[in-house]
Amino acid sequence: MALDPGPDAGVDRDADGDGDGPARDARADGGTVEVGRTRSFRLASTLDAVDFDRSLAGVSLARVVWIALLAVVFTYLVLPVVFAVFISFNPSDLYAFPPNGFTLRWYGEILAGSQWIRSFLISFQYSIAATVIAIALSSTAAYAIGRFDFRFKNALDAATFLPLMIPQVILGLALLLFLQNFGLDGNLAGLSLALAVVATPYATRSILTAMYNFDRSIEEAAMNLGADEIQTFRHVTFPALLPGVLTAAIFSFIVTYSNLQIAVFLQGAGVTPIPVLIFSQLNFGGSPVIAAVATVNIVIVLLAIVIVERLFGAAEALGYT
Amino acid sequence: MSDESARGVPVGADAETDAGTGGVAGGLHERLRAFIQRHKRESYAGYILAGPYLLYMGVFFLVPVAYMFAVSFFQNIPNATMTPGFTLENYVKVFTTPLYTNTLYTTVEISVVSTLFTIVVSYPIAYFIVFSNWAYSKALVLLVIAPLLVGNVVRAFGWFALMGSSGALNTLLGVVGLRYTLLNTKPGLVIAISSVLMPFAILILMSVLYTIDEEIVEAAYNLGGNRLQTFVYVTLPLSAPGVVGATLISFVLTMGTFATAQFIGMPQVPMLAPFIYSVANTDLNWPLGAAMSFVLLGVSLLLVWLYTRVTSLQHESDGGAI
Repeated sequence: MALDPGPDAGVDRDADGDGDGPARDARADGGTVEVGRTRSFRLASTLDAVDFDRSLAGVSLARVVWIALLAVVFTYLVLPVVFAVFISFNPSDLYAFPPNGFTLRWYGEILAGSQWIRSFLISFQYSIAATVIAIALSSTAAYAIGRFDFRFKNALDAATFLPLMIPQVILGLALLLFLQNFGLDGNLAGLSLALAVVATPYATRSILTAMYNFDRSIEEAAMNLGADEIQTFRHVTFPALLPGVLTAAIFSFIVTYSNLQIAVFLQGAGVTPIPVLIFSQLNFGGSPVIAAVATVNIVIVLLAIVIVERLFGAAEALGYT
Repeated sequence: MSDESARGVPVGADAETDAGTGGVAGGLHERLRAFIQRHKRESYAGYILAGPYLLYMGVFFLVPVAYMFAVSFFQNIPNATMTPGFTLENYVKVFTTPLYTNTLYTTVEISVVSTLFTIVVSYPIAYFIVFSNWAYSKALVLLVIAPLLVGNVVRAFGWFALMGSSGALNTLLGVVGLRYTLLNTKPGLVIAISSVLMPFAILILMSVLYTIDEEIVEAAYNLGGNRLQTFVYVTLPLSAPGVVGATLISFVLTMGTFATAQFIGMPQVPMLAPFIYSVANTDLNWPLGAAMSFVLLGVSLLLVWLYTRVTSLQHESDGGAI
């Protein structure tokens, strides 16, 4: 396990795949030398003083530093989520630490109150509807961006991110003000239509990535073998893109399911999405039942991620290969 | 278009080999195919496909935002109604109420600090995932994405429980003999917000780090640079666009923080988004909420513009060497 990205880092990213790694002395020419000469090496002496290859009890210093840094930062990143799971099994209702026992009482309370179950069902309904809308729209848009040349194509590509760039609370209020004119606030239809908007950036991105990874020479082969455009699409292109579309669907589902800022504006009497119910309960101080609900949500999301990973590789799905 | 025309076979040539089996389905197939063949090379073909998406985004994204802009000039009538009109009193109210101006100031302050903190903490992670040859470094991407997908409320709740006066952090600090409750303080809010922003920042930084040509880094090593030198003089300058991009997105996202701000900051450290919510949803003063939204948006855009100005000036004074 080589943990430090040292001089030979990137061997695993050997792009041409022939296994020889980057050529070590291939490029000692050109711009890099010029940059080195024209820049003053103010820090050079200080940097030289640090010995990166020093070993501490047989482990190189650089590696120790990296492991420590990664451990701290990743702990920080996942701490709130892990802690929510943790207190959902804790009998104390003060979120106390260390725990004074183990209980499933808070999970029992989810099942006992019809309120939480109803919210789960509501969230599932509008999330699925919003996902269907988002996928229908995003797949055609992504296909257009990936396959066709037209004016403003790059602008459209960049604009698919817009719903993520505007603060969600503002978008939520805007959608409430607009949709209530048509009676689309406080019901499932409004929630579905509104949340599809925030799902499209993720969906478009996943499908576009799948399209860029798709080898188009297969399509040409099908055409050369006599298939027409529709047949080629049905039997070649569509099956190849399907994992990308399913990944997009799962991401869209998760994003709409866990969205609070827009759902909180479009909720209504009897139509309380899960994040909104957590939000309103927390406003009254909350209880460990929220932790149990959060844990259920985390399990749902993790399951979805595992499915995506199996299907496609979640990292690849967002374009980070 | 270019790739369509690059095909060796003329489009019409395979017409008679079509497997369409007649009947209604066959007729549909023929008509659809004829439609595709007639339009696929036209410059508007992309618009036909992207049409539904564009229409939907127009109706459910652009129009609502534009409508809210109009509403921000409407007259509010207490108890849930408003009359169309043109008045600036909502904006005047935002800028003359000390509560709102102080909140705006705090929002900017928290956003700047959180953004800087986020970038500093996220960079090593992105760097490691991209450049390490550790077999499981790709799995770390999942670990980065997972908190993002779990949602803000759950994480806000986690921090809320951790930071409370009887929470785990206080217990741990108590062991060292410290008494300091992070809940409802600025450091606490920055810590909580940054953990929400980190996945976004890491993903953006990664996408830029991936584009760095490894041979340049290799060359730096071959020329005798040690790891830190190579990083400071080669990798870091090359990743500057990613740092700028991640900073912008983090900043814009923090300005609109809602759940975290509500539970970790309010009311001692107020931010604007919870106020927008309470003004619109509790007081039902929609015009004021709309005006506050556009003030928030305007201030964000102004600062983003200033930042891009400053970074582009800096780039020019570097002579664009990198």
